[in-house]
Amino acid sequence: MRLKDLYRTEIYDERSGTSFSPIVLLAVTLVYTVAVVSFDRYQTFRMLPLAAYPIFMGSFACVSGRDLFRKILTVLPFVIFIGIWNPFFDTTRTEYLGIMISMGWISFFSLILKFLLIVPATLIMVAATGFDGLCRTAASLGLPDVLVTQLFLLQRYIRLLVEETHNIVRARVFRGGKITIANAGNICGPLLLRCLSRSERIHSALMCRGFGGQLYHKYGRENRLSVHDLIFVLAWVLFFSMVRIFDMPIIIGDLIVGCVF
Amino acid sequence: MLVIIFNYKELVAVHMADVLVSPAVGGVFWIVSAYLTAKSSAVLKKSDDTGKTALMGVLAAFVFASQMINFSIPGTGSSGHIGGGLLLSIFLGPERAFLSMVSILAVQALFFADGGLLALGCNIFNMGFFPCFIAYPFIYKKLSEKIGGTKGIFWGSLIASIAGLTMGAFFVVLQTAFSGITSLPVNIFLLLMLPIHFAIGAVEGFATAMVVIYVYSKMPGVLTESETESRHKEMKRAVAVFALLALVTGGLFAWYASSSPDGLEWSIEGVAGSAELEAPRSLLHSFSALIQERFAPLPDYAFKNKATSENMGTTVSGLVGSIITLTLALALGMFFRKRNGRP
Repeated sequence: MRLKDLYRTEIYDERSGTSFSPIVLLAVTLVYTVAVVSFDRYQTFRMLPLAAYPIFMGSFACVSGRDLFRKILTVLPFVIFIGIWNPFFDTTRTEYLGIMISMGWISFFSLILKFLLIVPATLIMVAATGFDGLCRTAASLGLPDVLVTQLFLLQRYIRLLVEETHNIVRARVFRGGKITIANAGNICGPLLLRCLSRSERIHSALMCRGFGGQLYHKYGRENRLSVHDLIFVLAWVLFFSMVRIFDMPIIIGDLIVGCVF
Repeated sequence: MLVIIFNYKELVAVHMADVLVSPAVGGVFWIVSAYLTAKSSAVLKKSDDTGKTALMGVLAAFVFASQMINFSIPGTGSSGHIGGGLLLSIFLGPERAFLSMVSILAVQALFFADGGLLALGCNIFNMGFFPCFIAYPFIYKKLSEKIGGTKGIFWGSLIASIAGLTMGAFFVVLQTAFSGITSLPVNIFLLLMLPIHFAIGAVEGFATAMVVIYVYSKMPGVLTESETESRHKEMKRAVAVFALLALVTGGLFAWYASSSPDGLEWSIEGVAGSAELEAPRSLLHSFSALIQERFAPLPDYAFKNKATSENMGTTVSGLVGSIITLTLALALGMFFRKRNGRP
């Protein structure tokens, strides 16, 4: 990942949010992930209807498809690296869509399909709930205070430090200096020292404002669910179960094809 | 070879993806990681020291930012960056470092799709537990104390980083194997992952040592006052239990993988010379032969005349059904968005 890629958080910046509670989105996304992963390694088109969830949420929460695509592309190579071995070791031939093909290619295709189903769903969930909403929900579910505070602080300081790192690297390159491993101490060391003194300043500022180990207030509203939330959860869980149990594409397709022809 | 290894290190970095983990494996490691997180938080709560809260946040952001710098390695044309878990442990102590790693990995999983929700537990265990609770206290601390000075920091960082990363990589193989997602035989996967992570660990260890030595030379006091919590009995017990479990599982797994190359769920039937695969020396030979001989994108690619019409019918139905479902989902999303009063 390049330095400038960190700024590509556009999909979270102008988040319009949804009317659904973050806990609901988190739960449904988790159930969705488990539903996708639980499909057999040779299943392909059968799980395709599950894409309805990210497509629905993406269009509902106005998430930019182009930004999603860009983010997905950066992590795709790792999955390809792991999956590409399947065709070499799983060479049993079978007929697939009228073509003779090795089982390994089917499982590779299945793996990529699963990846393309899961990753957008997670990114859309964060875009729709927002980091703040997710952290508060996690806190209300019992995530330790110290970790929630840590997440809040990390999210606030990432951009600042990336910018500072970027400046250091740029300054060094402009002066004709090289960024080699032997210079790691000279490049990162001063930044680390500045971080140490910055943390002392932040701590003093926090203490001045009466910091007692917790950066946020618990409102107790995070887990309150509306009727809409419950319908949302039930509808999606029902849909995921139906896709998991029945071969939905074939059933719907047969129905339509049978009616038309 | 080294160039290839380092240029592709981002591809084989120890981040597990959601698609490579089965729900059972993901769930087990979620529980383990949640337990370790809860224990670490409890230890910190008992110590009641809020002085390092800001330091934790800023240092985690530092690790995040500094890992974006790729230091070139002279003579190889490749690059490396500093190791996160070990550096955090050196400055914060194991518990705080572990929680910082949890926060980093959670942000990576949620914001950058690096990892995933289901695989988060695995990633926390692989990249948080080993460097913070094993490599730091048992390797870095012992070595740096025994040798002392900058030499101690250097050798401690180097060896602890290699050990932490290799153990993490071993568990990536183990988790992928138990998930049964890939057809890659365990021994070949191990052969791919361990040497690469050994090399990456050495580079990360070197870079980390350079940074720690720099800070040590400017502010020696920072390192000595870093950790106090690791003496906590409760935490020690939890770590010991998981270390033992990891060791037993890893040992059994390694024994099983080596004694039966066809074990777990893989079958390497049809692979050129399966007998040769059993010996490590001929493994590479058969592996390269395999790539040369078998690299055909679609083996026996041909349309079958018989039963084609029947299969095509099923395919058409499947595609029509999928397209209808997904179009409906898109339309519903847009409809509800408009109803919600948004453009």
